[in-house]
This record gives sequence, C-alpha cells and structure tokens, in this order.
Amino acid sequence: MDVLHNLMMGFSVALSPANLLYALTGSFLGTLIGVLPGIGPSAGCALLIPLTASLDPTGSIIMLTALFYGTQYGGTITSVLLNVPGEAASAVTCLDGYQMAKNGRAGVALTVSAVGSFIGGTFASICLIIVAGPLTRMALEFGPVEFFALMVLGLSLLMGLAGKSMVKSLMMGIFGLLLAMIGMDPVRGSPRFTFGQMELMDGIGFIPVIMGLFGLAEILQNAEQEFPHIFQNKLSSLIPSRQDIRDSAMPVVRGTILGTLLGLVPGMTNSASSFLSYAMEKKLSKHPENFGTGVIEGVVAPETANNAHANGALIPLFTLGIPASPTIAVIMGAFMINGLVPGPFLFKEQPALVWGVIASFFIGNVMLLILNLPLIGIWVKVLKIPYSILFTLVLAFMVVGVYGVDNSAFDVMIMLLFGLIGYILRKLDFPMAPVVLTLILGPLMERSLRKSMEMSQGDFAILWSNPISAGLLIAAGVVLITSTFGSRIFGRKLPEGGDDEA
Amino acid sequence: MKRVNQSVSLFFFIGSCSIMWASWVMEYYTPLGPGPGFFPLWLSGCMAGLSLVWFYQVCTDPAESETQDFIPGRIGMIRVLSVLGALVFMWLFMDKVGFQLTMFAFLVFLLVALGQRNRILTVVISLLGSFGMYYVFKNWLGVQLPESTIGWLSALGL
Repeated sequence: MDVLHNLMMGFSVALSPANLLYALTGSFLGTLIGVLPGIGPSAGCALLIPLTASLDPTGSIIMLTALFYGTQYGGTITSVLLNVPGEAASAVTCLDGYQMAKNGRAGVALTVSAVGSFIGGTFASICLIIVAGPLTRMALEFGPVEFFALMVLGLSLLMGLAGKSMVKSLMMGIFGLLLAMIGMDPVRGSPRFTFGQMELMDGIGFIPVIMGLFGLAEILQNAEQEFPHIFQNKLSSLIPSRQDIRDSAMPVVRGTILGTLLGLVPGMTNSASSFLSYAMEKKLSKHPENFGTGVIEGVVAPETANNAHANGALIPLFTLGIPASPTIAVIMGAFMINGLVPGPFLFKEQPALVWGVIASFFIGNVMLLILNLPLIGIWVKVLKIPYSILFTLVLAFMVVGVYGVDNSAFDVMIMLLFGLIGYILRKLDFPMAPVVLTLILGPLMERSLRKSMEMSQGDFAILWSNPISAGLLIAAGVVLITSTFGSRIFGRKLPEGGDDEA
Repeated sequence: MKRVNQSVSLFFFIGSCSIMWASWVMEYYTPLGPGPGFFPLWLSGCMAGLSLVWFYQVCTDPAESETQDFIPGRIGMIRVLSVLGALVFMWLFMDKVGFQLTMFAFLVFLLVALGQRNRILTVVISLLGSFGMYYVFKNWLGVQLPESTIGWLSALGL
C-alpha cells in the first residue's frame, strides 16, 4: 500500500503542467540526440545540465531522464530508414530494420519498435517500483565499508565489459579516479593537484570532461572522415498486420525481461542487451536463415531490449546510488549539482522528488510513443542537414553549455583538452566509459574508504572482516578474473560495450 | 602504430610516477586516519604498474598495435585542426571580445572549414548562432554569456 501511496504522490508531482513540459522537452531533445549520429546520450545529457540550472531539482531530473530514455527511441528511426545507427544500441536493428524498409515496410518496423520500446521501458519502470523498497531497506543497512565494496564491484563489472583489453579498462578507471582527486581533499579540506589554479579548487568539472571525452572527441573522429550522403527509404503504412503482431508478441516479452535484467548489471551496455536479444530470437526462430532479410522479430526484440535496459539501468542508481553506465553517471552528476545524492537516503529525505521522477518515466514513455511516429518526417529532415552545419552548431552549443556551468572560459579549455585526450585514446582503443564513472564515483569511493580506514585505525582487514563487504569484494575479483581470462575459460566473450552507450 | 602505443604507455608511466611523487609529499597518514596522499598514492602506483604491463603487451603482442590509422589524411587533418583552433580562439577571446562577436567568427570559420560553400547561408547561420543564441540564452534561459571588456565594444552592447 505504501508503494501505491508513494506512486500516487509521484504522479501528482509529475503531472503538474511544468513537469509535463519538462518531460516533453526532454523526450523531444532525447529523440533528436538519438537521431543525430554526432552526439551521444552522455554528451547530450551533459549539454542539457547547464540549461536546467535555473529549474527546480525535480524538473531538472525529469528532463534529463526523459532525454536519456528518449535517445533510445531516436536511434531506431535512422537505423530503419537510413541504415545509420543513431546510437550504438540500435546498430543491430539495421540488419533487419533497413531490409524491412527496402521491402517497403519501414512504417511497420518503426511502429512495432516504438510499441515494443514502450512496453520494455514501462515494464522496467514497474520493476523499479517493486524493488525500490526492499533494495533501499537493504542499502540503508550499509556502512562505508559495504558501500566501498559495492562501488568496487560496480566498477569491476563496468571495466570487465567495457573494452577489448582489461589493462586499458583498468587504466581508464584509475585515470578517472585520479582526475577526481583534483581539488579539495573531501575529508581534510586541503587542496590537492590544483597547480595553484583557483578554478581547480572545487575539482575538475565533470561536464567539460564528459563533453570533451564523448562530444568533442566524437566530432573530431567524424571530422576526419568523408561526410556520408543520406539516402532515405520511403515511409510506408505505419499499421502492422495481425501476423506482424503475432510475430512480435513473444520477442517483445523476451526482450523486455532480458533488457531489464541486464540493465541491472553495472557495465552491461544496452547494445549488449540488443545484441543478445537479437541472437536469442535467431536461435529460437524456426527460420533463423531469414534473419537479415527483414524479419520483424529482428527489429522488435533488440529495440524492446535496449529500452527495457535503459529504464532498468536506473534501478541501481535510484536504490543504491550506483550508476550502471556513463549516461547514468551524468544523471547522477546532475543530482549532485542540485545538492542531492541518489540512493537509499533520497527515498527518505526527498520522497516527492524521487517518486515524481519515477512517475515521470511512465509519462515520458507514453509521450515518446505518441510523439515519435507522427514526427518521423521531421527527424529524417534533421538528418538531411549537411554535416558541416550540424557539427558546427553542435560545437557552438557545447561551448555555451560548458561555459554556462560556472561562467568560466577555463571550462572551455578543459573541454578542449579532454576532447584531444579522448580523440587520441579512442584511436588507441581505450574505453572512455570507465573514466566518467570513476570521475563521478571517485570522491564517494575515497570518502568511504577513508572512513573505513579511520574506523579500523588503518587496518585494511576491515574491508573483508564483514560478510557483505567480503562477498562483494570476492565477486569483484571473480568478475575481473573471468573478464581477463573468460575467453580462455569459456571459449568466447560477451559483446563489448561501445563508449558512448547509455 | 607500435611506436605510438609505446610512447603513450611511457607517457602514462611518467605521469603516474610524478603523481606518486606529489602524493608522497602530501600526508599519507595522520593521527585521524588516512591523509590526502593516501588514495592518490595507491592509485598512481597501480597506474604505473598497469602502464608497464601495457608497454610489455605492446612490445610482445603484435595484435596490441593493430588499431586504426593514427594520423588522419590531409583533409581530415585540416578539419581536426580547424575545430581545435576554433575552440582555442573561443577560449582565449570570449571573455575579452564578448560572446557575440567571438561566436560569430567561430561559426563563420568552422562552417567554411568544414565545407559549407553557400555564403549567404553561412552568414545567416552565424548571425543566428551568435547574436540569436546570445539573446535566447540571456533573456529566456537566464544563462549569462560574456560581454566585451573592451570599452567601445561594450558601449555597443556586444
């Protein structure tokens, strides 16, 4: 009953005219970012944070989360119509989606994807409501030792799945943690690694770093190549046949469950969900040889899975305060900018905000379902804008967004520096996702570790002296070992996540 | 590519060692518990070790060096340098000359450098992206963008 009462309270917050407008704006911008190949959800969310600075925290978080799950819808459109995945998670949709478009069934592919995405996203939001209570109660029992161990496990999962090389993933994780050390020491208050710069006393801003690593580096990589020409397939009827609905029903159910479960695992990217969902459908199909020729199951299953994943990935953030992916880490950063720390205490201290944001997930998903299909024509027109104009305008918005955080040109320089670092490191196959997560989690990790050490008077044994933290650290060790030697033990590895994934 | 990988791994190693030194100078442990140097010292130590492991991998495993071309082609290089140069220009001049004029120059330059040939469109986009954006951000979104500190430009409202 408590859950229902809280949810009703949440809907009363989310349904206020201002919050409805924020959800609509976030959904619209999210779809736009999903459509554009040059900018991903992480940089998109980071870009929006300065613009939401004047909003109340609830409105700001509603808009950012709507943008986050909106990007998943946008990626589908370009995959189906143009064979260009707007987001990495939609890459697998190109295989059958584009073939469907060539067969004159683009409208049907987009309709079933949108409905599947809606079902997946809504189911994952319901799961969040169901597990929120038990998980937060459990998390409230955690002290600094357990939280440190939990963060180590989360980061191990991320690093284990982030790239081709475990050494490079670990290096990037530590790089992010070292960046988080810049600024005032969180316990003693003395400055560290500030090089006498006043601008660094508060630490290195995560928005310029993320914009650099994800936004600018991506643009620099694209600028190197020939700008592609856009070929568009015609949009046919949007209404699926009965056979289409029958063929889509079970893939939607399976994609929903798979995506939600994988979304709970930090480090498991939504493209992994899409890929595994596609592979599962192909395996279960009576005619696997038809996959790749334009079968509806090959479109609806991965699209459902990646949306369920995106909403499912918010569960660890809301209940435990652990971001499961770079974009969720950016949303966590937005909470922090508003003076809030996501996790179990937030449910106690700000129930209206938390439940308002959760209720907005349902509203946002309905908005996206209604908005997307009639606006497909507009999204395709956006893609016809020449890349020279598109990239220039995105760069201009990035400059304004980064400057707007602290009204400081120094942040533009930081973005430029990290854009260059990201550009070089991407070329050397370094994953960028661990940098963002550790940059945001770094101060929390350090505080937890140092509190633990103070409690034990410097004895590291405190970390494995209680069963919960010992269990979590053992799990982290197992993850790192299996990720490093997994291919030798099991014969093959899980699909790797791209960098700019939700 | 092998040379690039080796150079970057050595760069990481040297960087980690200098952070280790800087952390060592800070307090490692205090009567109240771990000091400000505690966490960065361990982290930079791990980073130094990992850099050496990567260096070893690059030297012994040819697959480690099989990445895409590091140096872009001529046109690609011009575009990359144009973007970087335009951003350096924004960083250096935005506070002094003001947002509107700097952004106008930034947009004109980048549009041309990235291949936009229509002059009228270039000017229209640059005007909207600089003066238009300034108006919208200042008056509608409440984001303060810098105005010129040069007297006569400031008097013109730039």
